[in-house]
Amino acid sequence: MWLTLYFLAWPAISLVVLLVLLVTLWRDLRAARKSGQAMI
Amino acid sequence: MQETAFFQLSATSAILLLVGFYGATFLLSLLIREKNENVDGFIVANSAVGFGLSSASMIATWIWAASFYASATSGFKYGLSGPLHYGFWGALMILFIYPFGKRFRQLAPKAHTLAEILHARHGTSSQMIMAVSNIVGSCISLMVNFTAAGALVSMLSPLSFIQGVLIAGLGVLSYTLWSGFRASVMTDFAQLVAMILAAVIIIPLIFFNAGGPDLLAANLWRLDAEQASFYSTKAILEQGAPYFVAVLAYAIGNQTIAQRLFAVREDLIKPTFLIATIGYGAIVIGLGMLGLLALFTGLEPINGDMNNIIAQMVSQYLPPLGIALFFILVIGSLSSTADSDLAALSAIVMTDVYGKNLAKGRPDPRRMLWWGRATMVIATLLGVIFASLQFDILVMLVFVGALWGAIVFPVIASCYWDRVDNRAFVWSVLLAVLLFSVVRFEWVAIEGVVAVFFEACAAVGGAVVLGLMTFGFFGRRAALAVGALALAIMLPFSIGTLREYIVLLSSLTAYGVSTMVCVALSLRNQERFDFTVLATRVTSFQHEQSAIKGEVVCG
Repeated sequence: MWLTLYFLAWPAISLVVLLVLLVTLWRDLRAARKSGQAMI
Repeated sequence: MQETAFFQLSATSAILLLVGFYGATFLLSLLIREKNENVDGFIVANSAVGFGLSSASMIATWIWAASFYASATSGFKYGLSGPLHYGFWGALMILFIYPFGKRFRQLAPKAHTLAEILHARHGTSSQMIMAVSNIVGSCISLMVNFTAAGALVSMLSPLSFIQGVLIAGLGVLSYTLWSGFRASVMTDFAQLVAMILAAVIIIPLIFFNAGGPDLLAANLWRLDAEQASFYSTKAILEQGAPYFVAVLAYAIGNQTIAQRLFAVREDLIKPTFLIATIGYGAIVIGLGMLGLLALFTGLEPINGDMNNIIAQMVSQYLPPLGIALFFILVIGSLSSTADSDLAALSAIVMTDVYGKNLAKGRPDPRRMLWWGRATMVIATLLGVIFASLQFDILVMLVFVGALWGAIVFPVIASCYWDRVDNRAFVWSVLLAVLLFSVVRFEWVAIEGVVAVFFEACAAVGGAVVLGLMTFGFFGRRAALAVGALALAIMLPFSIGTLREYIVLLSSLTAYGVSTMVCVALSLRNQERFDFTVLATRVTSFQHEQSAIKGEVVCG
């Protein structure tokens, strides 16, 4: 059981990281639109 | 589709995937394109990149094609702890450099390259040591990534190696050329999203298609005692420790990382590096699990080549759509690193070659942009040619690794200790590289007194690595205490042992010798450096130019 968890934990963590990145990008986009400045 | 040793995509599918990938990336770069690019924007995106983009870019850059293959190889060779000894240490180094990154930004908020700071701190020779090591390192990385593209395309499709190299070279250049670093960061995000999605789908799919938990339970016997242990000494000494030492040098010595450090908003450095640490670790360790799974299945790498492990697993356990996803995963990883290398090379040539030397600190922004874009074209051309000729770059790679290992302590010390001068920097690096070469290439027999000498130097090097890591987070006193303790523990262990591990011995020797020489020469130096002048010596190019023009008008 723990070995299966060891194998599958990494894609799960990757997915969480992806969600964090998407949410923060969306926030950055909104902030950039509000301020009228380019995001990058 | 047709079947060979590996499951192959048809030529049409491969071309569609490549054109789709590079076409979409190019269109994305058009979103941020400006007719008149700002020089500072071109090099470091005006040091104002947000959290999401900079974290994604850091992860995408840190992951290159070799990350997957090496992590999987480590899992296959060393068992349970193998992927950790690749991915975990690589991830930790991202975390490790952030305190130093904050210091670099505090000293020179408008910096574009680390070599530029060294120019302001010490002068041209130290700057050039850093710049040349960066240039050679990025050229090698570019070549390796184009080679990986050629290998992947020829392995998984009927297209040839050269066709793969050419498509990757032209594709990466097309979207990076106009907007430079800004395009690199922007496209890194999309490439990372594709990479994570591919990894999230591929890893569980292969795991369950190969047999899942039942396979693990039934085949645990295939692992020997070392492979079945999370605390394998063999894995630590042969994989973990040498990689840990090498990747630390890479983190400090590589402009692709420094560039992102100078680009992210200063208040976001810590969270950016934290999420990049987690993201890199999860993706690379996850893909390393495919190597471990291959060990459980009893897979034999074709032609004994460990680089075939992932491709074999993918061919055996994934449907065609999964193979296409894997294809995109590898193309995304190598392209994101290659575009970062192009941006890094252009930054160094623009800043350190043209800006600080040829233009004597009074650069013309338009000419500077021309230098940057010309650098990208020439670097791509060289990368494609060298990749096509399949040069053996091992010796060059070893030298760059040594150079980066040798500069870690002098670079960090130069940013904290006011006694370090140009002489200490240059001599410590040169002597460290020389002694590294003596060990690495065994110019003399590493035995008897000679071996003991180098093992003692290496023990100092090991203490320096741990001391530096402690210093970044806990300050000088704690670092000295940890360094002294580490030396006391490692010295007796090293003598008589490390000579059996030449790669580790030589890498640690570079750290140890550069530190000892740098400290000795700095202690003899009576002059003190005023760090506050760095911020006035290192400024924005575009604003600097305006100021210069202003002076002329006023005059």
